[in-house]
Amino acid sequence: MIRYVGKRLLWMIPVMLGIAILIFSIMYICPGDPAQSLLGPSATAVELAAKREELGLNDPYIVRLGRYLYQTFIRFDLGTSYKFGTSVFSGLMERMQYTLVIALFCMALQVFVGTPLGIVAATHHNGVADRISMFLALVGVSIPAFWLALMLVLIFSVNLGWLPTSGVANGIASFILPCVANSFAGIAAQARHTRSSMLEVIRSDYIITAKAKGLSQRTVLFKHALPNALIPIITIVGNGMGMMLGGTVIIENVFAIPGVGRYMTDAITARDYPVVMGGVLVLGLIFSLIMLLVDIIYAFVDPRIKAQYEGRKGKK
Amino acid sequence: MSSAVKENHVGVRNRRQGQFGQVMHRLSKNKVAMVGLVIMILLILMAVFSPWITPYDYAKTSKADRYAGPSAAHPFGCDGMGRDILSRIMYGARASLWLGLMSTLVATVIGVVIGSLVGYYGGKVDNIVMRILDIIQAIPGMLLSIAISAALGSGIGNTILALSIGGIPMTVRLLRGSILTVRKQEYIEAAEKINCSRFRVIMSHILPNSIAPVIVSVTMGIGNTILQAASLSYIGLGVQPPTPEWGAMLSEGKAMITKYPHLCIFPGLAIMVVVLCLNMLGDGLRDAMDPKLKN
Repeated sequence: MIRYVGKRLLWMIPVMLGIAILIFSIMYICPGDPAQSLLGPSATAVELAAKREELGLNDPYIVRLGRYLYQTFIRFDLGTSYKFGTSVFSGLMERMQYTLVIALFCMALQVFVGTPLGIVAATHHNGVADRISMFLALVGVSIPAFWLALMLVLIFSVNLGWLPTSGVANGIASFILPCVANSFAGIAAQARHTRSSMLEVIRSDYIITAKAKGLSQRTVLFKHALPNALIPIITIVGNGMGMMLGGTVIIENVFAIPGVGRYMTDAITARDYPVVMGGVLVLGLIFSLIMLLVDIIYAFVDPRIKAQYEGRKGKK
Repeated sequence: MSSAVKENHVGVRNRRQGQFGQVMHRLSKNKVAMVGLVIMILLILMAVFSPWITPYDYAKTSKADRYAGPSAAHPFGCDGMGRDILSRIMYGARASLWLGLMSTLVATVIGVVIGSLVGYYGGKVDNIVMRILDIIQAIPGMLLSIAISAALGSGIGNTILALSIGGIPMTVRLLRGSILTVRKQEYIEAAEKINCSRFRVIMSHILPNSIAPVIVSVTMGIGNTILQAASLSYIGLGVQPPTPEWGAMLSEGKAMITKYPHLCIFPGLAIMVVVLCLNMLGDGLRDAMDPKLKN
């Protein structure tokens, strides 16, 4: 197990290198001149040229790429923001709290609301509860998160005045609408997958046996059915995390939350390349770590997978 | 299609129709999916014929109607320049549907080509390609689309490219996985042994038997891509005003949402209806293609 985790962690190094090269290349072909957007339209040609030289924008692709990789992976420095002149890493860390709070809270909503909904739907298969929750889930995966956010603001902030429209000044209250809007699709997807995974398990022979020996509905459900339906459910949780990290970028823009997503979209408009590249790298790293975590959780849920990791030593 | 397929499926009432016919037959019995399909066809017709059927010119401004609320003359009201929102939504269906369909199509075609090659040949190339896809997939999809869209600039063509690149790895993975299970079957070996060309083996023996999961994911993917396209336009990348695209219309309207909510309500509803229909259709198609999954 430890060897497996170690291997996966080592494998992450080439993946991060790959992400760095990919995102650097994307930014390299980006039109627009960082010097121009830094100095404004009034800058003279000489000033622009000097600024470009200072930022090292005149060097050929391969030199700049090499310098970026050296700086990132040998000196662990994500560079300095063109716009703010501050370290990208500390800029990201300052804002990371907001993004992580939203993403984790959304994850929690997805797991603790979506999964029970799916279980209820599966146990009341074709009943009213099933029909209603599956219709809601279908709407949920079809609704654009940013539009849902706007509508929630319209209802709860503008008309009812219960919650703030934007910003983070009001503590927890400021995070309610962003989290609900951002997690709605996740909850819906979670419910749909949990339902189909549970339905598949519920019809297996061992569930019929368990019922036949007179176990209570509750025991059958939580001791026999749920553990066997967990693998696809966990997969969806992992995928959901990627969606949440991407989704917060949009939601932070809707609610003007000063998180990593907003930092990055502002940086894209300002052609502040180090910030964009740093942000993608850090979010990619977080995402990869979560995917690794998901794989490790698999092993705890399913002894067969654990046995695979442990190789010849076999069963636990 | 090859006869092996029919025997693989459970509960098939086989009256000498092809696999396609069977799937369509099962699909036609699914009411929800049919509702989705009918509305989708109507929406596509609306998008195609929009220049002739919109009540007003989508670009015509009118000072008197600025921010006019919904009324009999303008059922969805007018935007900040007095343009009829209903007409803009009808015309905007072109951009939004086109974006969703084309991005998914591009991603699928590239994904299927790569997927069938690496799935069939395996070996070193497979290893390298899959590792590259690992890298692409390690970046959250939305983030990748935002970055590529920023690099390529706005416009429909560039947005299609930005959206499709993120979709390629999933198609490749799905198809590769399903090819790996088909690859070792006897009928593939038989086809190879009677000297079918590799191209023919892939095209007429392997692909028809392994493409089902891809088709389902494509139907679901179109809806998702439309959502992503709208999100991109909303944050100011992707398609930009004054092009009537639903996400771009939302982006224009958001500043005035507290005063004139109808600017935002209707384009969003349009997106939701389209995606909802596609998902209904996709669910039905999934059940029709794999009756085992249907409960």
